[in-house]
Formats: sequence, C-alpha cells, structure tokens
Amino acid sequence: MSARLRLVLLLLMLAGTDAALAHSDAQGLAGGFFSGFAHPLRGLDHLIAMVGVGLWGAFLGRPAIWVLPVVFPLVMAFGGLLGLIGMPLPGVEVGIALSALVIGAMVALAARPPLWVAAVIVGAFAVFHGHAHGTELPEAANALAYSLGFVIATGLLHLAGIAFGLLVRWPLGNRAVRAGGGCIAAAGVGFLFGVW
Amino acid sequence: MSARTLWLALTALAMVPSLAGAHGDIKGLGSFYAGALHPFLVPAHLVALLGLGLLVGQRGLAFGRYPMLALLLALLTGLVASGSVAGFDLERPVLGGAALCALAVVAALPLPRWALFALAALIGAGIGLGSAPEGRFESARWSSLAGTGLGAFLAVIVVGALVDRLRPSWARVGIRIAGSWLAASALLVLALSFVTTPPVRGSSPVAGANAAR
Repeated sequence: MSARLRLVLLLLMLAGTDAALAHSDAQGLAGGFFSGFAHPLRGLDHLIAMVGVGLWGAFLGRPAIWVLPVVFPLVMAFGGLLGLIGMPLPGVEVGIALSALVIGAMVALAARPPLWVAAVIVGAFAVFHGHAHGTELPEAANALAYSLGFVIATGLLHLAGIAFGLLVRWPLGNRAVRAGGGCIAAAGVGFLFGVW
Repeated sequence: MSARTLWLALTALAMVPSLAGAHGDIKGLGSFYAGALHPFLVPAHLVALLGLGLLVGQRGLAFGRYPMLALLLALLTGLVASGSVAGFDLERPVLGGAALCALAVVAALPLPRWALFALAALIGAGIGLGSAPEGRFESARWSSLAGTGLGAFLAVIVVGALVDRLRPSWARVGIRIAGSWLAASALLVLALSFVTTPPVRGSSPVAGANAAR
C-alpha cells in the first residue's frame, strides 16, 4: 500500500469520527426528549417488561388491551415524580426485574385475572419503572421533554407487545404468545439474579 | 495522483462535513415564522395544544366550533397583553389545562360545551400571555405575536380535524392512549413544579421549560 493511499485511508478514518452523543449531558429540548426516549430502550429490563405489558393486554383482550397501556404511563408518571425529586424508593431494580417475571408468567400461564387486578399489578410495577426513568433525568434537560420522551417510548414498546400479542387469535399464535411470555419471565429471573 | 487515490481523497473530503448545526437557534427565521414556531418549541404549550386538539377532535369538530372561537379570542387577548404580565408563572395553568384535556380524552368524557369552552380559553390565554417575544423592535414584535397566534390556533385545528376523521374503533382507542401519554407528562411536570427545589437537580424543575422560551 502506497504512502499516499495510507494517508487517504487515515483521512477516511478521521472523517468517520463524529461527536459523541452521550445521553448524560443532553441539553435543552431535543436532548431532553431523546434522552428520555432512549432511556426505556437502553435498559433491557425496561424494554422486556414493557413489551410484556402490551403482550398481556393483548392476551387478555378488550378492554385490557388498551386499559393496561393507559394505566401504565399515568402511574409511571407518579413514580417518575418520586425519582425526579430524589425521593428514594427501595428495591427499584428488584421491582423492575419482578415486573418482567410476574407479567411474563401471567402470559405464559394464560392467567386471566379480573381487569382491576391486572391494572393494579401493572400499576404497581409502573412506579418502579417511572422512578428509574425519573432518577436519571440529565442535568439541564427539560423535564417535560424528557418525560414525554420516556412516556412515548414506553407506549411504543407496549404497542410492540400488543402487535405480537394479537397473534393470540390463532392456535399457533396463542402458543407463540405464551412462549413469549415464558421468555419474558425467564429474562425476569435473569435480571433478578443478576445474570444479565 | 492516480484516479483511485483521487476518488478516495474526494470520498474522505465528502465525509468531513458532519451533522449540520442549522436551526440550533431560531435566529434568521424571520419574526413571523419564529413566532409561529414558538408554540411548538415550548413543551408545555405544545402538550396543551395537542391535548386540546385531541379533545376537540374526540368530541367532534362541529361540537367544538364555539370553544375554538374561545381559543382564538383568548389567544389574541393573551398575546396582546403578553408584554404586561412578565414575571407570572404561566406554565402551571397551561399544564393544568393540558392535563385536564388529556384526562378527559383518556376517559372519553362527554364534556359539556361550556367546559370545553373554559379549557380552550384557559389554554389560549396561558399560551398567549406566555409568548411575549423579548428584545424585538415593535414591528417585529407584532409580527412574531401574529405568528404565534396563527401557529397555535392551526395546531389545534389540524389535530382536531385529524382526530375527528378517525372512525375505526382501534383509532379511537389510539387517541385515548395518546391522551394518557400527554396526561402523564403534564401531570408529572405539574406536580414537579409544586414541589420545592429538588435536592438532586440543583435547579428549578421548570427551569428547562422557561429557558426554552
């Protein structure tokens, strides 16, 4: 390889580098929104549990299919407030891991509790998820933009779970959804014991 | 230099320009356009306008004709008076209105027309009063205020019209879910604004939103 070619390749490598888009120093509106939006997506425990909520809602059918995704963000906002003001909540990580375990197990075992019981279970876990999101509000990020970001990302993850859960109307799909619930519960066990 | 090397060098040069930093500031957009964008750049205003739009659309655009008139009048009044109310905390009323609208959407409450009227007036006045442009010449100031009024009003009309057209049951459910997202965010920040200075953040919880203005 000629020296000139090496120089050009070096230029290419240098040109490929870009500004680091770290979330912790997010500033202002766009930073706040994207930082909040990315938070539920960056944590596998959050992501799996949120998909589980949508999956369970779809599995239970109407009206749970929309009640659970409506209850979750509203209660999560309360947890987010606790996190934003710095109020400690014991066992946040355990609560998040348990949310994946319990909700996944509900789907895997085809549990069909009354709607209010399902809403209470989901709402109780929403506090832990909200607290985790609220605690990590970046300095100088806009609180409303950040909260909108994590609420919308959470809702979209619910939607992903609902989309998968809609397979439940077919026999094979029903088995696939329950198997998905089993995987979520297994992941919850992994989070609980620090495997992941 | 060979053709291959030249091609590589050109590729390298083409990759050097990074993310365009345009529009980092609203400078250069012109006062009218800057004013029109203002409601979309202040999160509390945007959430309130979206919440009101969802509510008006859910109840039906025809039902919301007079509340929309109230919104327009309150916006105009607020914008005209915006220079004289500096120092007031206008975020709480706007967020409160947004939360009420969004909760009504979630519950699909058949609000009476007077309640919709009151919510539209509250949000319109709050946004109008809270949109005073700073440090502008008189003509540019009025141009900016006109842009804000038009932008805010059109936002509600467009969202309302879109929602009004949605008929499938899954779409109506989607509207209620979107309402829950707005309600959650508005309630969170509203509650946060009532809490004393948070120990961890070191700044006012609403400082970010205020700084965005």
